[in-house]
Amino acid sequence: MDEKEKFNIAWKKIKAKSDAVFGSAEDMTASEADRVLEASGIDTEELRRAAYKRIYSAAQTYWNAHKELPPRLKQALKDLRPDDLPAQTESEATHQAESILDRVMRPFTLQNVGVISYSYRAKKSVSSDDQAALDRLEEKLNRRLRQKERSDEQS
Amino acid sequence: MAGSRAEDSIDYDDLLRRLTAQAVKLFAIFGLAGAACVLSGTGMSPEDLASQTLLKFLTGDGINYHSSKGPLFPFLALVMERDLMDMAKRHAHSHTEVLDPASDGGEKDGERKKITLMDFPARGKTAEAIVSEREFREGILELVQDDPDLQDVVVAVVDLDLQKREEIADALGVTADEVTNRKKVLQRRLAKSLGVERQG
Repeated sequence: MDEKEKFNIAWKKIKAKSDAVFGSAEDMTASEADRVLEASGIDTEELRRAAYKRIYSAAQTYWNAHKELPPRLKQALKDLRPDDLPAQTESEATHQAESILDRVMRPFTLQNVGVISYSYRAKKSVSSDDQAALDRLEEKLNRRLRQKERSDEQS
Repeated sequence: MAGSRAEDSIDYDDLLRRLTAQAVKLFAIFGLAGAACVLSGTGMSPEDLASQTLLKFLTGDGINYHSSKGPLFPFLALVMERDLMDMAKRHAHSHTEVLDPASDGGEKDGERKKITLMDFPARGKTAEAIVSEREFREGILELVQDDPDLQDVVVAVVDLDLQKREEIADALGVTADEVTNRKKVLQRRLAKSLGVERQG
């Protein structure tokens, strides 16, 4: 057995014991990860910023070569973009706004909206223009609900 | 198709944090962090290792993941661990020479000896030390020296070779959930030990 093999075997042996003492990767939940990062003094905002910089730099090689970004890379750029980074292009500004909205809206889904209220119909003061606008809004919301139901059924 | 839909829902911020936390654990377990908390000879920190692994996944460079391979996070954690193992092995030092300042560092026969970077001893651990069970045991016991409950878990695993949560619980006469709680405390202590080194 050569040195490399001996090293690998010894590493795996210690890793098995350390998993038994500290928990394995499967036990690393998001909340546990945050506690570990805090305990080790890692600033999560700084972590995100550094990772974004590295990913952005990788994306540049694709842009320079006029190649399309791999989908995962594109999504990660959007997810990890620091909120306070100024947008350089219109497209970046749109991505930034979408990303912020995504994060703000993440806990909410259309299912939480519940039933649309029709109580405005009883009000006599609603003008015909207002009524038309409300009807358009109702139709729009119903359409989005139907789309959501269809996509839920497909998945 | 199912795989790509699953990937649509990947939270990369969450993935990055979990990978980094796992990297912190690996660095602390194997005592890989030097004075500046980077892997000796590479300048790589736990944060670097985690973002490098994430980037490999994003670009598909050397990582061919599909949902049939199981959950994404344990898969990436294993890739990251293998990379670290390879780097640690490559950059581990087979021996450390300490210079005698009187003969090598100073003047000799009235002539100053030229010192190069090669004359300085390496600060990294040897390959043997990285995977030494004795060092691993001593390091963990030092971590829990003030807490008998945590010591019990360490002894059960390291000395009695018990690995399953239920086995450890039986040996200690506690519930399996209590073992899990103690493991979490141990994990945070381990991370804190690396944090103290970073600040120092």
